[in-house]
Amino acid sequence: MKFRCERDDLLGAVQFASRAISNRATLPVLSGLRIEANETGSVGVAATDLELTMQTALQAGVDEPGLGVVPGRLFNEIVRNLGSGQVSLASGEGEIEIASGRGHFRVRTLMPDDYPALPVEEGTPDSISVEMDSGVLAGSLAQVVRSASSDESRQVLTGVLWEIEPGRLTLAATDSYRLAVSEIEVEGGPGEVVKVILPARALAELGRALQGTGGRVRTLVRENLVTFFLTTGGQEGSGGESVIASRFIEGEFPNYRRLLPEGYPNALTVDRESLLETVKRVGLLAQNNLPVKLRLAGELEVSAHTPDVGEGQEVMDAEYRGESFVIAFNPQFLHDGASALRTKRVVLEAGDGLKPALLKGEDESTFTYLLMPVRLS
Amino acid sequence: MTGAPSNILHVDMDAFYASVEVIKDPSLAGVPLIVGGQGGRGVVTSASYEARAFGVTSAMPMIRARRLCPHAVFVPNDFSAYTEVSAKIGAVFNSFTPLVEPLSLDEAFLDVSGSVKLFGHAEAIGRRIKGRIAELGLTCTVGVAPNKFLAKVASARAKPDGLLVIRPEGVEAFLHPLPVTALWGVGAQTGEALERLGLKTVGDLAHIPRRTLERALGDALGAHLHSLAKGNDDRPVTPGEAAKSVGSEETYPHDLDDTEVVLREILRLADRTAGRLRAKGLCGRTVTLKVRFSNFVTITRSRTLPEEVDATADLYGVTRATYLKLDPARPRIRLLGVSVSGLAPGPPARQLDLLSTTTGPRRQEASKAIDSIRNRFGERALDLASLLDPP
Repeated sequence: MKFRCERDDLLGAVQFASRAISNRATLPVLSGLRIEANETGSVGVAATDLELTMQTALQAGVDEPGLGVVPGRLFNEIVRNLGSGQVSLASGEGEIEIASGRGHFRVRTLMPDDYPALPVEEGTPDSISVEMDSGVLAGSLAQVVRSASSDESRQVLTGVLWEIEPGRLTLAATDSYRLAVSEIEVEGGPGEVVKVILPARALAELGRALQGTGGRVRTLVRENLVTFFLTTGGQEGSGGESVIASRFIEGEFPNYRRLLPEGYPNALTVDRESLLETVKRVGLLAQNNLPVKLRLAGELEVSAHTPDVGEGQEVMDAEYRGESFVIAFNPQFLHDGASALRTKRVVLEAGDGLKPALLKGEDESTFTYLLMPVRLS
Repeated sequence: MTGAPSNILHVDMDAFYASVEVIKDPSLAGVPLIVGGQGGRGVVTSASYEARAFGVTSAMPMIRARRLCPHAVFVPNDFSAYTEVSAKIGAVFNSFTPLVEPLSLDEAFLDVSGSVKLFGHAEAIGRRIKGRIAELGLTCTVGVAPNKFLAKVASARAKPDGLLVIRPEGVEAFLHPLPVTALWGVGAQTGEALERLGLKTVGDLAHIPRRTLERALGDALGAHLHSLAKGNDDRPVTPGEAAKSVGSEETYPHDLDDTEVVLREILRLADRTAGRLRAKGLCGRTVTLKVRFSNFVTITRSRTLPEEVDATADLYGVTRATYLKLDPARPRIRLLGVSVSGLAPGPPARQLDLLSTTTGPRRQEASKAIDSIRNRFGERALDLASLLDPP
């Protein structure tokens, strides 16, 4: 394998693919980056941890097609520290030579034969395909993914549920303290609803990759795998599409629709930005997992108290329908919910201090955030 | 014999809870006053000296106290008031030395070695502390000695409202006439064993060879008592330790050597600690297991949880895991203790769960029900099934 390319293109590709390399690689070869130069002048860079696979391509002057697996972290560091300009790579017996300007590096490579086959090829006839706007999907992921659990002992909750039906995709995630549900429009879809659970980690990478790309995402679901094909619109000379593939999480996602309340008598409407700022400020006095208290009334009073530290209180303008009462929340969870919304004003609907409260955008129904309160002592 | 100067203070409040009640209600001054649980199985936590004159002591069942002193005024515990006053007392101590080791709400060790240049010798500091405490409307007794053990024995001898200084050269004269039970670690069992050997006073103990004591009581306990009888105790005053914790520990008459039995005892202590936490209206985040082996090696292991707890199941879950992790191959355990620190006013604020309804509120309701049954019908009225003796 031998090719020449721009250092910036190479770095972009290497940094993208490297994100799939696990710090706890199960096989030594999985700490590597798989680089494949094709006769067509395209160089694919890929990595996988067997759960998540990330692959992208760059344009290069390919002198000799071929395949090599380079040690991921070191290669990433080398490319990152090279100056801008042309880089040439040439693989030899068990090593690869990187040349840029007056610098030369020779790095031992890993065995390409050991590298697992990448699950990035096209689908079979029975696979399901949907397509959507990448900006819309990125927005939806940003709303939902952080509500997934980080508790590995509840594996299903570390994932995000994808409910795919004709014309519509619903994403749902819960760590059992809050639930985020977001709906977007898609093109295509299966005849009946298909449900798969995808790891939050893969979706966080997908969301990151979609940042500001402005193209379309094609999603292919088959067997135990979902593959996202990202066309990076706008970026000239990037050489083609990037692919992110992820295995499903096995198991049954909780029936989240059953958790959504039918409607509460108490509804508070407040300015979203003000709520975010207030919760952040007052939340400084809610330490050691203590909650912020919200007194729902014609005005919203937000307060917090940490013994031996201090207390804070702030009053906000609000519109309120219902009986006055106090409900307490983990400030981070409340902040997450309000920041996931995009409307100017948000509506908090609550039953009482012990029932899950509903946070929604005013006159907006594509995103719902259900938040369990903290029972006060 | 220790050559250290007498710079350790043990300050013990006199009839603390009862005295705080008098501050709250000055009309109670001078009358027999008994503080404690008012239920059928309630226990005296504090009695004024007027009530003590009738033979009432703390830890006595309330029923007995009522019989001994029927005309006394009986008041329920008000731990939040005691905690508040205790904080003021702690502030007094801290104004003389940072080396303050609180033992409970109403007693503490102080090391004033570094403060004598500033405030005068230890006895003078003791007097100044007494004066400052008197300003709060309370009295205390101060023991001043070269070490913690002697300071504590001294304050016990000088009660109430006293101050007793043991100088290094006076240690023997002070200690030797005392009964052996004055020594830390001598309970009823060991006391009897010593009596059988004809050893009644601390002086008796100090005058026999250490080897003889070790043969009679086992190496560890023998050496420990011999050292105390000589007036030696090298435990430092450790600030903060044991401050603000609630717990329960037990020394067993026979060493525990069966893991199943150990776990059962840990469950018992966890249950008792959880009950005490709730009785004081507290919860805590750091759960500590203390294990003392037969050779007196003592291990404490703490775990800090993401949320405050006050339920038996939570405390047991943590301490059980902690014990199993210690994994003593052949346990020979003399003492076990379970305690909770990082205290906050309870019951704990708890993040409720969308998906599960079995923990949280339900558990809290169960604890409440258990507490009210025990308050009404006694500690053993309701017990954990696994603590019942096998038939």
